[in-house]
Amino acid sequence: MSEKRFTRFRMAWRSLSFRIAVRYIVFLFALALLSPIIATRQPLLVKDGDGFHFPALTEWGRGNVGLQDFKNWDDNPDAFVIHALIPYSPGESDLLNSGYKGPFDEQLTRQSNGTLTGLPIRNWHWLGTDLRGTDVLSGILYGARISLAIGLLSSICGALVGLFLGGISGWLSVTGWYIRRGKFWSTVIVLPFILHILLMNHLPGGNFFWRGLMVLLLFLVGYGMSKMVESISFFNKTFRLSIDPFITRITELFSTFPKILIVLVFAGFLKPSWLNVVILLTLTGWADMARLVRTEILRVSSFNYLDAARLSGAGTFRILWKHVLPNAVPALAVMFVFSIALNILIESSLSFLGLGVPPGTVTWGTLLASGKEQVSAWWLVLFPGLVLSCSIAALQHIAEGLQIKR
Amino acid sequence: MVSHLFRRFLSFVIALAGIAICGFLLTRISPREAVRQQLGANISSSQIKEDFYIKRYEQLYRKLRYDRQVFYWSWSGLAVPDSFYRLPDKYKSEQLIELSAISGCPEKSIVFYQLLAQLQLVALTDPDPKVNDLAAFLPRASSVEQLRILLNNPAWKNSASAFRVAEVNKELLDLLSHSKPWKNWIPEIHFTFDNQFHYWLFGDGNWLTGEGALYSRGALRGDLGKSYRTQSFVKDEIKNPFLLTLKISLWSILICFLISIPIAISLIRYKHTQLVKIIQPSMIFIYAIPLFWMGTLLLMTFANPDFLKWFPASGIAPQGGFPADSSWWNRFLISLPYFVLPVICYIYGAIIFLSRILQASLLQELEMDYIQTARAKGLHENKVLYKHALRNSILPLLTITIGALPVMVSGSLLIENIFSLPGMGTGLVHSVQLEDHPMMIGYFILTGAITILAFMMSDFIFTFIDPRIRIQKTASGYE
Repeated sequence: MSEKRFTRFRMAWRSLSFRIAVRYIVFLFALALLSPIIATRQPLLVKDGDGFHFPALTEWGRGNVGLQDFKNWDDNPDAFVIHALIPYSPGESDLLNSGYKGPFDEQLTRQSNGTLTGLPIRNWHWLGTDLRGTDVLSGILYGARISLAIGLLSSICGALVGLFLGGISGWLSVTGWYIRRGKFWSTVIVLPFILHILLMNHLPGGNFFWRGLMVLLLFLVGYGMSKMVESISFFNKTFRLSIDPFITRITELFSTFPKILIVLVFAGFLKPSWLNVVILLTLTGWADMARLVRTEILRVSSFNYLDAARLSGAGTFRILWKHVLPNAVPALAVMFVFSIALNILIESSLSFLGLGVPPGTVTWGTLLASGKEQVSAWWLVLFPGLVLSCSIAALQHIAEGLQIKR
Repeated sequence: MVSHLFRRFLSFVIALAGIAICGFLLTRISPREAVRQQLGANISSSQIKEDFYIKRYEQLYRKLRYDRQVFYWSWSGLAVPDSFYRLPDKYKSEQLIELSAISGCPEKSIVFYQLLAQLQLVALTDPDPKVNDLAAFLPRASSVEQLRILLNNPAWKNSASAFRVAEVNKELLDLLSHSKPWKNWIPEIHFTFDNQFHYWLFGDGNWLTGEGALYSRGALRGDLGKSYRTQSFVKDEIKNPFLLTLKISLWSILICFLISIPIAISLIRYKHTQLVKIIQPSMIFIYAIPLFWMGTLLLMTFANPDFLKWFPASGIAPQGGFPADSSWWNRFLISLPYFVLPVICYIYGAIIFLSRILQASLLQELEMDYIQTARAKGLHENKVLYKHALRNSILPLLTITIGALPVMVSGSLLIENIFSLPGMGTGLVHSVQLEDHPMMIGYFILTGAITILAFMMSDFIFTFIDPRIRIQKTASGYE
């Protein structure tokens, strides 16, 4: 059984372009994870009179990446210093090379005696600088960090919400939700009280304990009420409660509306932070996943072996987990990878417009926006855009490779 | 079929209402800030002017009905009425909520608050500066503990308002000793037509005819308030950008429709040549290019003073305006280069998408028997493709094209910003950047309406044109 796992991935792995795309994404991930030690102004290793120091690693450990108080280790002539591969932090300006220096322009540095000379090759700005003299290559690496983090996180959250709502909607439209009238009406009576206790913020002495106790009490009251009422024959009958149409309508609305517009308008009302961007992308991204989950459940539910499982006494949860979900996973994986690409695209569009992430953060979108300001600085437009397009194309290609060929 | 159409129509109307409610709720996020924005900033620091400002602020707040409940139904505890949350003064609101939450008695809390206000008024004129400070802090005490500490301050003892303080203290004790905190645990649902949503939707005049409206004629009649930035009506501010965006979108759709048909057909006709085998995959790659990168690349290549300066980089007309005696044709020719790059941006993705779809449906169609017959008759291949196959496979293209309108509108967000066209996208992004909430909501609702109308149109056209759908719907017992 275990040999047959990831069959679709193995089949797709045979194609060269799929392999390239997967390797590119893995490489990008590695760069994004390691960017605090690849591109930083702090040296990786210093050996001086006090022994060994690892400034870049300690800064990374403190979660302090980017601009920080900088101790100039190079001032000490006795120290043995190993710099990072790209000795520039993102957003840090190199004043001597400010004002859009291209990769082939003359780049300067100041020697200790005050004379200006050409920049040594290992400090070279390989992909040029922008107006403030920020290194573009280091910005691209950090942009990968932010883009991938936001894309992955928001896709995971969106997938979870979509899985939950789509699962409820799909499964209930298959089996139906039959509920006793007594239970239903006692829920209708008790639920407002429970919601009130949970949601009201002005309750004197309303701490967690008392609220929990009250909710429990109300729950018991509702349960008792339903049991008492069900002795009457009218309340003892079951009826079908359909919530599937409501969820489907909402899902349709969310998936038809242009995503970037919702994100943009809501971003105007929220504080700029990357967590808010994740929340907004989740809010707009769940609908596609929910729709897919629903159709997948409807497709799988027509198979005979589900009846067989039910006949052999499997419960709802077991059927969903062991029989429905494994059949739906391939399609969901495809959708998941697609949604990562889409979320990365929306995030970079948003930061291209100067919204979403807090000002001062370097992302692919902000790099492209600074390229728009000065169109003759071709390196500012070409390189971030190339990395972004390649990432999106690679993710889309992976998703297409995983798709079922019917 | 009629019932199917009606049902679709109903679901679209529900979607529109959902968008309108969403937009409305966005306007209600910070009512106090909204009123302050409409009054303009309070520049003067003198006490009299500040009092006047507060008076005007409260007046406007009530006239704009921000003190009413938000929706037809309000939900609150029995102890704290919903209206306490919607007072113009933030501190008064907080204090009243706290007081009545603890005492469970809103009426008594109001009486107590009035006593406190009187005390503050008197104490502010006290010669002792310490008492003045205490009085200034009184309305800001957000909890009963803070209030007690303020009232038990020894500085009151020697002041003229000592007896008032004693009275207030007694009232406070009375309020707390007769408290009914259990009232908080019971929800109260209140229904009234006198609510914010009703006024937002129908205006403050007659709800049916809109007569006698003073401040707002209602969102149903297109009144969404005034822009914070320019103080002119949202409707007038949006009109020109909307027309420009609509014009560009419609032109782009037309152009891409006209281009993608010959592309698809020639891709099929010459599918065995080397050129097509190169073009086909590169089209897929171009399709993956993000819109804003394409835009900046075009700017960098064709509007770059250092490289090729073929097209202007921004705007829709020359800086000095058109020559005075130019005819509309001349104006069109003058402004044409301004639209070339944006329109390319609009259509490159759509052309590839449409031609791929058309190609697929044409290939399906070419396997039919009647194509064989046409070829056997000796018809020219062009005639077979254009006259026979295309007519049958153009249907899905039509609906997809109409459905592309919202995509165009959301694409305009980026394109118009890159090329600085004064359209809806630029307007929306600017209003988001300047936190001009009424404009944002205007754009949001308009775009939502366009989206839903476009989907409705493509759905209806599909149902009307394609007889197969009608028959299927009836056959499967849809009606």
